[in-house]
Amino acid sequence: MRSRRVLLTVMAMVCIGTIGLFAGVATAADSYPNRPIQVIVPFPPGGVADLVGRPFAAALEKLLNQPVVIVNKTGAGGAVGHQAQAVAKPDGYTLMVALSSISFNPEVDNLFGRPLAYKLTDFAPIALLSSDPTVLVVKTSSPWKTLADFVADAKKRPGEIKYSSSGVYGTLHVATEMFAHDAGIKLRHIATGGGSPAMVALLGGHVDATSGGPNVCIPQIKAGAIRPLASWGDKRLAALPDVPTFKELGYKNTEFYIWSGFFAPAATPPPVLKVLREGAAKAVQTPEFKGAMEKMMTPISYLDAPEFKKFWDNDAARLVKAIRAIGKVE
Amino acid sequence: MTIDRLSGAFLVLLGLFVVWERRVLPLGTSHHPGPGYAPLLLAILLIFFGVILIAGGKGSPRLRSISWPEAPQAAAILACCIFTTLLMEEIGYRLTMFLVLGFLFGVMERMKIWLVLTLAIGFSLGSFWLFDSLLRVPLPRGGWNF
Amino acid sequence: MEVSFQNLILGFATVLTPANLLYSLLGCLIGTMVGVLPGVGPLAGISMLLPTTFGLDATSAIILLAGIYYGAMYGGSTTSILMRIPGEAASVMTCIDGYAMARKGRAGAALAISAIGSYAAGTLSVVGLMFLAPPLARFALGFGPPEYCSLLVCGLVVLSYMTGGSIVKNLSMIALGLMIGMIGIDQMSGYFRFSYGLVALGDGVGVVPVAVGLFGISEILATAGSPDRREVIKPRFRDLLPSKQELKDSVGPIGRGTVLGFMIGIIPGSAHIISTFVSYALERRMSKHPERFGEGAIEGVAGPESANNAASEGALVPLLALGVPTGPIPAVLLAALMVHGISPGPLFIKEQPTVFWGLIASMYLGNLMLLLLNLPLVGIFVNLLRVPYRILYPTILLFCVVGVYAVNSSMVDVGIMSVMGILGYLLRKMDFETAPLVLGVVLEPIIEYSFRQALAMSDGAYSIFVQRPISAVFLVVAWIMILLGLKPLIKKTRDWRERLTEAEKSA
Repeated sequence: MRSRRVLLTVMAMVCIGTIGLFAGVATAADSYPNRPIQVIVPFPPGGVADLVGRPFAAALEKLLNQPVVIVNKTGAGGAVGHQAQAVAKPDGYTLMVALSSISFNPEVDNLFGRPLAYKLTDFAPIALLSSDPTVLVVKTSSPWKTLADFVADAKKRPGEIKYSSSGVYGTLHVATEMFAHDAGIKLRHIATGGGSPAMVALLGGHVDATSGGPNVCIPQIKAGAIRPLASWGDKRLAALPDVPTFKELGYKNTEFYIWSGFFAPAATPPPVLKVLREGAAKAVQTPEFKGAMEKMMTPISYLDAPEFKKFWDNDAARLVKAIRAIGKVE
Repeated sequence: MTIDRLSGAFLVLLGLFVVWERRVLPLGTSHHPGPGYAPLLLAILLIFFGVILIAGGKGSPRLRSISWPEAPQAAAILACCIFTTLLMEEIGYRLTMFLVLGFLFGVMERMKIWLVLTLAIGFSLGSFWLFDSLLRVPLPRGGWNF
Repeated sequence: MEVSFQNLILGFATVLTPANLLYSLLGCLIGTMVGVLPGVGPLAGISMLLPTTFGLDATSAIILLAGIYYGAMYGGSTTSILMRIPGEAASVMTCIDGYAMARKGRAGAALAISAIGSYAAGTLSVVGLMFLAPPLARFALGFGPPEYCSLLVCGLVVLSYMTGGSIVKNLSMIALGLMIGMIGIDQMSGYFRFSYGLVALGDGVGVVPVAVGLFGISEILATAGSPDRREVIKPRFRDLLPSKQELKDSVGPIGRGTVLGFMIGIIPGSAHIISTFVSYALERRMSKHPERFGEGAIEGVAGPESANNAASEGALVPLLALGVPTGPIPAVLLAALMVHGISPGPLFIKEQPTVFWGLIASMYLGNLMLLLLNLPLVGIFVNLLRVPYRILYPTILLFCVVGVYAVNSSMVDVGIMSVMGILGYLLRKMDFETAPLVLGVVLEPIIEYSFRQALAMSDGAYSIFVQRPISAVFLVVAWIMILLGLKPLIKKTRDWRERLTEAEKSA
């Protein structure tokens, strides 16, 4: 008796399940896009990638006429999201907005002799969206008024000056070590859990210096709590015209950007990529996107796929060198 | 064999396992603790507590006295959880939930078939609509995009 | 900062427009809903709605998002009390006594007290926010790694009173929790610890899957097939309201929970959930009948619920006064403000009085709205208990899976939840408490990293812990509490010795 009921139930479920499956299959294929698109953001909500990604997704949604949904997949300095994108189906429905840290993780894996979570060749770059150089800051109450003061002091007391970063082998850590290597000084690194804790550590006086993107630093600079010493860009920041760049001051190899880019899995078919490239090009021109980025004080630096690939390759090469120079931390 | 002795033994084994696995992590010094420091410390604590439990475990209830009347259902529910974890991204949320709910309602609870199907379809499709379409929290769509 | 009547009037004028009132109500509703769903917490709710706020003006946007934030703290207690499933991670402690009260038929009272406590805590915290934001924020900044470490040592001593039962078992659960919390990338050296190649475990196991699994799934595993399941005590109207005695008993815990929660909330980086643990432990320590805790003591619901509401508002203090977010949720609120062109910084209150005072006024109103919303809903929620459990539990399972998955779109989290579920089930059979395990998972990263950061700051010298005043104070307090805790032991030994001497004398 009981086994008959079980059998009937199972059969009914299998029938309905199969019907459902076919219904799903039938609605697939045709012109791209005809389904909601997911954009992976490998960082928690509120971070740089998220802040750039959300207005971008909103703009793209209007252009492609399909919902473009942000999916935060955080962890391991972005590696979780990057890996998810690397193994995603290359049908154009799973895309990613990632930061320059995408270039780090494979090198760090190499350093530790771990199997790579992903390779840079797993991704097809579509467009560069923004490119913020970071800024080195100290407290206004500190004795260093210029970068030269800072470097001189660091040479006198190697390993004494403390700086906070967003985590070991994170963007701020690599950037600062790049500078330290170039300047021939030794700083003491205090790793915290993210960009905000790093800034909090500086504001509380627990460390002597930190770095951050313009949107983190500028409010504090305006309020007079911290003083910028130099920026990691190629040119001076428009919002901070008095802050020299490291390159200007003679540190030719110190260049670092927290850039955000739009990616698809490498095997995505070219027609799909074309639609996405055009969509991205138009999206960054929309007034909503421009307005949002302006309000966040993040300049739009748009590059189409071929130029972006060149930029990325250069940037990655620089970063790989920096990470090899850092080596294993203890 | 009492429950305290068994649980103590587990703690000791877990501690030993951690000590063994942690050997790839550098210890550092007590002035500059490395990544292996905390695991070693915690493992020692666990072994310590485990030993205390084993030593004092005589007075606790015997293992045989634990009743497991709900074990068959619990095993079924656990099987559903594992099924969901392994297959939800392959076959999609709606299908997985439909199968799981149908199994739980129909086989475990032995409810009437029409009720089983209504509830299973209703909840799996309804919750998908609520989260994926309305709240924009993407749920897995599986290999067949369903 | 002049807390003048004028500013408050400005704030209320901003809020009392139909549009802003609507946004506030919407935020509270969504927050409550998000809180009720297991696992899905305010972070998910806020991120979901962030894009829709792009079109609104800054004040409306922040009113909406903040409403979701503290609204979720109200809703989180509902499933905790009714079904022992934490609605969001911070509601874990409410599961213990809240659910025990529900089984005794006092679910309505528990829900009502938790709403009232949340309201009192929320409103008092806004007052604190209003008057004390800048000085408190500066004080909070002074908390560096050494202070954290000492504070948590102090906290651990308090927390050893957290649950009844054998001390060894509790301590071993904390240790096990700490061990589980260690899984993931080591923040200071980059090594993967115990993650066995699963990159998804890089940031650790996560408190949401652990809490939902240990409490929710294990509850389902234990009760679904149990023969004595869930006598549905049909609640009468009388039972929906708390008795006079319960109200009287709750006043103290609510007050203490508010202060405790607010202080813990303002400290950068601490999780709200810690405030609920400390409040519970404190209430238990201060109670004249600590054995009631775990069996349905109203103090065990009133305290933690007030604490987590106060903590969520306290967490806004550094954000609003200094522009530094102290956790993931204030970070999203910061992002929301930035998208509207407002960069919160130390000058925020001066430069944007409309937004700040509008937010403050909306918090007063929002808390009131939530109280008025939640009290009548108590009746509706309690009727959920009438649904036959055999229909209820698969549905709960479904929501747990969705809730946990939605946090990080990660199947691994669902796997962790399942593992924790079976672990919780076995632990209950072996007579272990599961709450200390959750505590361990939450505390591990904070304690370990602040310890190692402190040593990195001082280049290896342990003296940093006593050289800095705040840290030294906490260590002294911890010592005093340890000694106080040992006092009965010493007394017992002395009594025993005296009796032995007397016995010898008389022999």
